[in-house]
Amino acid sequence: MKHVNKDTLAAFAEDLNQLRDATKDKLGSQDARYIRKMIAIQRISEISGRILMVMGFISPLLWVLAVLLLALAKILDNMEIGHNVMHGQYDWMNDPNINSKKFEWDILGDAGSWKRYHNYEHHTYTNVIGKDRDFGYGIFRLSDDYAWRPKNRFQILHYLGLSTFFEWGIAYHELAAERIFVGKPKEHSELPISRKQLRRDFFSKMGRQLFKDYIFFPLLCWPVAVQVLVGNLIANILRNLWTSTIIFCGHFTEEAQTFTEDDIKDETQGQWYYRQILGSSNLEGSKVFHILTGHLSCQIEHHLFPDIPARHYPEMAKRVQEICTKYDIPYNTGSFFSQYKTVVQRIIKYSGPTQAEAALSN
Amino acid sequence: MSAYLEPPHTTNSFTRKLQVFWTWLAMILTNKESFAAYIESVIQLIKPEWRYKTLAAEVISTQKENKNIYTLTLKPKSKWSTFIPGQFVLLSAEINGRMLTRTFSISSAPRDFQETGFIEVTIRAQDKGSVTPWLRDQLRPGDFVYLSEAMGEFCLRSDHHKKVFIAAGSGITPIRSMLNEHRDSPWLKDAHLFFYLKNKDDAFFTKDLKILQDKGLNLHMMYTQDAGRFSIAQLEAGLSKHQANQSMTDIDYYICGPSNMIETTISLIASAGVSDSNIHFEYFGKAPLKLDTDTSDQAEFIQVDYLDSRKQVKFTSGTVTKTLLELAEDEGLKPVSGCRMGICHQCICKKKQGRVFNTKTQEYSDSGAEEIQLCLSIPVGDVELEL
Repeated sequence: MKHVNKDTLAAFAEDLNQLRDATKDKLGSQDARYIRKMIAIQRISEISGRILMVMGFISPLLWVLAVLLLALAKILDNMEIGHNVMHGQYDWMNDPNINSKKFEWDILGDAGSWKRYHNYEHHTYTNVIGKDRDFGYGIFRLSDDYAWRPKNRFQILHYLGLSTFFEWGIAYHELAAERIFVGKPKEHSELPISRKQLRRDFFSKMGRQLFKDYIFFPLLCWPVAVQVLVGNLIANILRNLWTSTIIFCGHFTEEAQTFTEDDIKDETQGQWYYRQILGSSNLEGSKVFHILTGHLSCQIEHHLFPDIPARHYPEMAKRVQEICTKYDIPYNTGSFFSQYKTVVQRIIKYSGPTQAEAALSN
Repeated sequence: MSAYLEPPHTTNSFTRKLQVFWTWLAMILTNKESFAAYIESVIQLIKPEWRYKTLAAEVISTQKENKNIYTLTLKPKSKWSTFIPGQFVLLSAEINGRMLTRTFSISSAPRDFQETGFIEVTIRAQDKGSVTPWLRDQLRPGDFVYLSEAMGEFCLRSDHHKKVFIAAGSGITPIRSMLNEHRDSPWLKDAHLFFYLKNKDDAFFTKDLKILQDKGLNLHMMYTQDAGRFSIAQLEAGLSKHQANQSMTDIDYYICGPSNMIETTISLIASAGVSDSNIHFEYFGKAPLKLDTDTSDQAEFIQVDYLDSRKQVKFTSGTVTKTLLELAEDEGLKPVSGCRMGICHQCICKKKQGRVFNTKTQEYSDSGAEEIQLCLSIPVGDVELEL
């Protein structure tokens, strides 16, 4: 991490705080209307998707439309609604249904578990090697911080697998860290619930999701059970591919940096902001694209201000970029395709050993 | 938070089982606690005021009573049952996207509600309040607010004692409801109302009170600017004006007003020999308001209530520097928590009431019900938590 002097970072933080406060002052009924509208769109696409799924016998095109609608509903639910609501972006509304404590999403993983590792571990220790398990998910070698192992040779295939079944990865993430099923339990676990509870929540949520998509709805539409089951499966996979692609673009682009535990010792607010920016990357695109990514296309702004309603990020991004230019701090942004290309390149690049390691093994 | 309705009462076990199944199915299919919660936002596209488990009431009119006090006339949706004179409601409104709740007495009578379908709440606008001035200035006929069912036990006793009502300022509201309900009751002729106001300019409900007076109510308008605050001498003078040698002890007293007025009035009446069972009162002015930063000094102690764990802890005001999360943990409670710096939102908890200071935003909270982050919140007054 390039060293930036503390005073500069303090002034930098001051500018960002000003932006944060100015945006917070703007929050109001428009934001409430926005999230309710988004939820309404999600509901309508889910309900119409589920109904059209049955109409597949009239025309296969209807079935395709149904799958796309259901995938859209799941994407909206997970990204623009679920992810953002669970960050507490709408808690100020004081709405009993739209708040971070109550929200549960249409995905295999239990919301409570995700909030624990994502909101805390990932957002506090973003890209800190050994602290943020979201960096490579314990599967990928994405920097020289980890020594090369032979299994890394196939990590592009692992990547395709994880992408397809991403919701399983999300669901299992915390259980893997706590070694619930395999391995020796962590010695210094900070898990605030019992291991038994964690296991129970995992199975309960997984059971509900599988029952809904692969048993209940197919049986309900019995004569066309297979087309409903396959349609639901494809919708889930489309959602998995989309969310994983967007999320990989957030922290694993070529320029996204990693940090050591020493980097974060006695970190000031300015240093924290600085690290969040270095570890994240943005995607440029249209309004609809931003919504479909849950505004994770503005990953930098999301990491700076995780609890500000995400619809404000594109506007804030302009100012954040100006502030970064002013303090000569790199700001990683680009089009979706150019950023995603560097992600794939990075996965491939680190699937081989470093030159030193290669030389050693020879 | 806005008013929840009780779940529908069923005695039939089949119906109950069906409800349990329905809730289970909703959870499986929608990840929400009910299909209504799932579909809420869609219904709102057509009926913006519709809210799951919440009763809306249409604003009919806003009427100014005096320079601070105004009356809202509301038409609750037909599901709203009714009320007993003297009861209050929790009134919620979405103010700039945010649902805020306050408690107000109903100032109209049930018999008028049966006839018109309207109820009235009479409200004092708090200078620095975030709700009461808004309700007055922003609500237009046709807008919606949300109501709980009526609650409260400040109601008329069914004994045959004479009744004396002592009200100060907006404390008249539940008493107006009682008197209007009984405007044709025979006891009205023996009843006395002592209505304390600062001066004549502050007077309100004058038309109503005049009608009641014509029907026999013994009305005493007390202007503290001239007459001073409540005293036993005033009470005796008022009572004997219409009937000599009136005994003070076999009377039921109904008292409502600001808390210091209630306290002094009760202690004066009690020391004049009236038994506690004849004194009925309701603390008014509990209505939360936004105060300046050092309100914590007002009371000697502040108390934190952990409702779900049934624990209460008292602290000396101004000495609390720990967050509610730390305080709860000191009590051996284990609220789910995470980053302890306001990012992860795991320790979010419903505060039923009370003001807290948010260490992150450096702001004082609203005193009504809302979700707070325990790890950021320092109590500055009595706080009730669902924990």
